[in-house]
Amino acid sequence: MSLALLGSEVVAVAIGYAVLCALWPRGVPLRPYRWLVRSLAVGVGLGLTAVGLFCWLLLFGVPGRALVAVELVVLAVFGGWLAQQRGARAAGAVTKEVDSTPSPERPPIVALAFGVTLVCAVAAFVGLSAAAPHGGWDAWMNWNLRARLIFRGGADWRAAFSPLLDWSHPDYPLLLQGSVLRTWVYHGRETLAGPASIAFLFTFATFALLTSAVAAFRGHAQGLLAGLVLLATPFFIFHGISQYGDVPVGFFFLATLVLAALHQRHGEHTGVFLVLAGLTIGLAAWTKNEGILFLAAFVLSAVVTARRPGDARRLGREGRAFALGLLPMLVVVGLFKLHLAPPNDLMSALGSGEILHRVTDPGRYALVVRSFVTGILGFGANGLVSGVWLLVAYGLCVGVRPGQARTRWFSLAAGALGLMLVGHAAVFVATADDVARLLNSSLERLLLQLWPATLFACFMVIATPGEASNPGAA
Amino acid sequence: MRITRVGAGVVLLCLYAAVSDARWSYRAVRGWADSRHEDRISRDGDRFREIRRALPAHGVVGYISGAQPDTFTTEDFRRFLLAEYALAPLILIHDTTPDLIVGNFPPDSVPSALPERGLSLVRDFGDGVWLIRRAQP
Repeated sequence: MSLALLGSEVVAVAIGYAVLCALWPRGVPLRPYRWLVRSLAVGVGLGLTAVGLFCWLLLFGVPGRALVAVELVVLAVFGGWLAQQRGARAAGAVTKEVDSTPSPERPPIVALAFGVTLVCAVAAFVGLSAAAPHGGWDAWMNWNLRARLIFRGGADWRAAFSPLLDWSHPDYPLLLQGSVLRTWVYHGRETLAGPASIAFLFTFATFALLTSAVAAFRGHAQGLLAGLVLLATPFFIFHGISQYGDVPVGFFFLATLVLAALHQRHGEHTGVFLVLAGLTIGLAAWTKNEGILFLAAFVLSAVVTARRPGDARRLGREGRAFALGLLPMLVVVGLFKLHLAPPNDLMSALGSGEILHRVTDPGRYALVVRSFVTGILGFGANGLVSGVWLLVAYGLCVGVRPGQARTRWFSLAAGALGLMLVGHAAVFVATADDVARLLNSSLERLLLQLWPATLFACFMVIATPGEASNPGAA
Repeated sequence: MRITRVGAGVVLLCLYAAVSDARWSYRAVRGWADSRHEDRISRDGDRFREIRRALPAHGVVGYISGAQPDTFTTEDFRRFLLAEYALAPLILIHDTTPDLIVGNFPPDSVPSALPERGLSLVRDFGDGVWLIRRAQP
């Protein structure tokens, strides 16, 4: 891995970190969330720099070293301003401590298992990436091919979105391809280490975000256990290695729920976490079309779970903050969809008569429901037990933290994840030409997108080992 | 020693992780061993290195592999995709109407003659890779 390639990623993460620090509310101490913010900065930085690259493409064509210079100037100016602001804050600001300090418990067996699994997962990731540096089938026929078509295309880069390439999903948004392309711009030429390193960053940033977020809200032991289950999920690592878009979009789903949890904790004083949640949902839509489905599921769930008197006014206030972060990203996605992308292959071949015929076919429902039940219950199987049954068994052992499952945040998270499943099922029933084949090739990937966010929701509500051992103290 | 329900739960999670650790360790060693040989996609890309120099920098070129559209198998499709991946930014279409056509035949079943009329072989690059031109009427 060259220094230039490493530099492209350091600059992206630094830009993400600077944006998060600049927006971080004054009354909320950063220290308890420092690892959470660092993990979040990876996805936010890669996402925002991919947006910058897209704008550059539209304005000036395929970027060269000038993009590197502009990013470094932006980072220097932004970083300088931030340092100045931080100095001023430190001089005069009074920070509010987090109301519920997580317990410091860290059982040695859990810490040991966590450390061993992390080392083994990193070794497997690096070893398997070295053996298959182009990634899986979809990586080279879609994500990396698009980056290659743009990078090699020069002035003719728009041909990368030709309808003649409809088998390669040219309608997919550009976060991942843009990030890969950006590493090549820094490096000066194509390198297989570019897409592999982006895959590594998203995979381990997802793990780090889950671990740090659960640790910040529920204590170190709970954070380690959540991270342990994610890392030990075989499909998470194997799919991360394959360089597909499912792990990155899963990162943004998780990030959105983490930011919503921060809003639940600090939302009385600031709407910034909802602005950031809008941004991360927008980045999900900038990664894969499923991001748009998640946006609909999240908004619908937020509306349905606002049920107390006075919630309508609060919902309006929250909606404005959320829209502030979301709208710029929707403009970017809209610009891409209207300006460059050909119609989606699943949608474009359909007429209303065809959809009606499909949605009135009970056999399609039966097949989809059966596949979803089998797929969900078997998800995360590693030869011992599936990840879902593991969670159920562990939940039965430790129980649920009293009151936690009745919070508005949990209703919102569970509702959004449930609606995602319903939305995916509806897409399978209504649009798939060969529903059995599509289920076989994509259901596990769709479940993987939701897995980190599902683990976050679960480990937020189930009791920590300490709480379960001393129920009276909880 | 008395094992509590909570302890059993934690041990279950650790066991799940231990099984995955064993799998990661095996795959890591295997991956490093495999990485000493060139992977199939890079190898396939190397087949097209010479023909790339003979093709235009941009535009649309045809593609022929001997397989008919109604008998196009997953392996045929994979070979088509790998050719596109290697020859990007050229756009390949599975058709012989463009002036220039890339022939991509399995190295162990290269045809002895062009499979269609109205085509002329420009150059055989070896390994089943041909550059073909549509003959002028």
